[in-house]
Amino acid sequence: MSRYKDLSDIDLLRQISKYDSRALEELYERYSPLLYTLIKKISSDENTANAILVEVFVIVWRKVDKFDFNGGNVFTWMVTLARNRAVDTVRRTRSSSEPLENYNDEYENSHILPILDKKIDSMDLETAMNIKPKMEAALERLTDAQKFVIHLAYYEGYYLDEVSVRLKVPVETVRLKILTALNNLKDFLIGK
Amino acid sequence: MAENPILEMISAFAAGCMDKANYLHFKDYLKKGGELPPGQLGEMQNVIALISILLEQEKPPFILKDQLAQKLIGLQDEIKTKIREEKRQSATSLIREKASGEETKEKTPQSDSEEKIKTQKVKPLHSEQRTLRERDEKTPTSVRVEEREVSGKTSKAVWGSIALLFVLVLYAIFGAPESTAELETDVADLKTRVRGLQNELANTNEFIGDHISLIEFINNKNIDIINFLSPEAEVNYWGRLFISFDAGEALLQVNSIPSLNQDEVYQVWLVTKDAAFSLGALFINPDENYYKISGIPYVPKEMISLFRITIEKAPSAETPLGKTFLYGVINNNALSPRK
Repeated sequence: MSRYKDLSDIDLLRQISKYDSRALEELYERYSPLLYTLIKKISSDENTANAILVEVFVIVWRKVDKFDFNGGNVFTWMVTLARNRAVDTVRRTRSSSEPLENYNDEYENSHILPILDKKIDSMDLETAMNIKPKMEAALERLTDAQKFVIHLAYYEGYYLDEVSVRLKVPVETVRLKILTALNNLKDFLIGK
Repeated sequence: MAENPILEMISAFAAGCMDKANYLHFKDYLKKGGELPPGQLGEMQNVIALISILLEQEKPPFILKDQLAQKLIGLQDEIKTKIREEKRQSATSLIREKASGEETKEKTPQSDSEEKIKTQKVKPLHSEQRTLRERDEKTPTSVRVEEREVSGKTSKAVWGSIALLFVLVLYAIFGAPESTAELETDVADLKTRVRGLQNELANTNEFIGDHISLIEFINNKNIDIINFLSPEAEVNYWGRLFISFDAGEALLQVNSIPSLNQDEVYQVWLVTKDAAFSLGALFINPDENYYKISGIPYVPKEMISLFRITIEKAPSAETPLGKTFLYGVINNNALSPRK
């Protein structure tokens, strides 16, 4: 495994695209604690979270060719993939949400696999973890309302209109709060 | 603030909370290369993903890794089909390119990966051993260097020799032994002992030379040993597999294995309840005892039913179709790591 430990996240994905199961194992070692924690935050049922984590890495194995190797942002791709998969499961079990389409290959490509900006800055897990203290400080600068809106949208998986109903505010207000929250985080992180 | 509605759309998309209709519109817009304020979507996607690092991380249960491995094994057929399709597609495009008079020099990554899965050659360790022997043979060079240094100090040596000669002459005159016969006996004894030590040294060197690959391999952690048996009775050939699941490597020791027809090849397999993984084709070299196998796929030990060496049609087979030549199962006496 030592050879794989030295590989960067993107090199691991390159190896996985050549059906190298050892590379997937190393990617699992690296990312599974973060993704598992994220998935458990979204889906509190432990058995469901376990199944989703396994499913996420199966998706990586099967669909790594959908990853944009030019953009090279493994961290955001992995986290978004895990979040999408977990939120999709939660939405399917939520009676208040409108019924979702059947989960099949086409649906997975369309709704679960992340569609990242082609010009996104690349980021790996190590870089992301180095940003953690700054991110903590950035989050502290958000208002409680902004934090709550982000929580409902990102972790609870509520759509804009559902957040609007829960908070009893217009959808436009929810949109604006999300934009303001993300802009504030972004501005603090890049030091504006 | 004409940009605001677009930015609101971008932030809602990044946060993954767009309703279905808007999500599909926005996605289509992106796929068609629709323009957005530069960098905005990527920055927001990174920011929202970074929120997850603030969670206190928890390791998943260990069993999930095994479950993942089981799922991958189940996907084996799907992947093989995919590889075949990719190969067919690349072959078709190659034919098209040739037809249009273009030369294609680069090999597709897909065909690389297929070769890796199908015919991972088991390399004899002869070359590695030779390097080690060459290293030993290089020793005389350093001796020559020393000789050159000694000749550079001639005057000192000449004076040293004269002094030694003078001491010997004095010893011969005043202290010569009474009986040279005793000395001759001692010398003969010493010669015999030296000869014995030389033989021991030669035997040790030969042993190390024969087993250097095994000695090096033993440095890996948690090695399992699988003894191979023949399904036929009373045969003089045998095999043994030293496997380190941690390192993903193995060393196959075979003895007295008969050579095959030119269109046949020995192939090593890792067999689970659901699938068989090729560990590579085995090209027998009568001078070699050990064959290194690398890139062993990650399969939990409990799932492995047995290892097989089969005789397949050259160059190799995707699934074990030929006669089983040797087989072995994992026992539980794994070697502990070397301290």
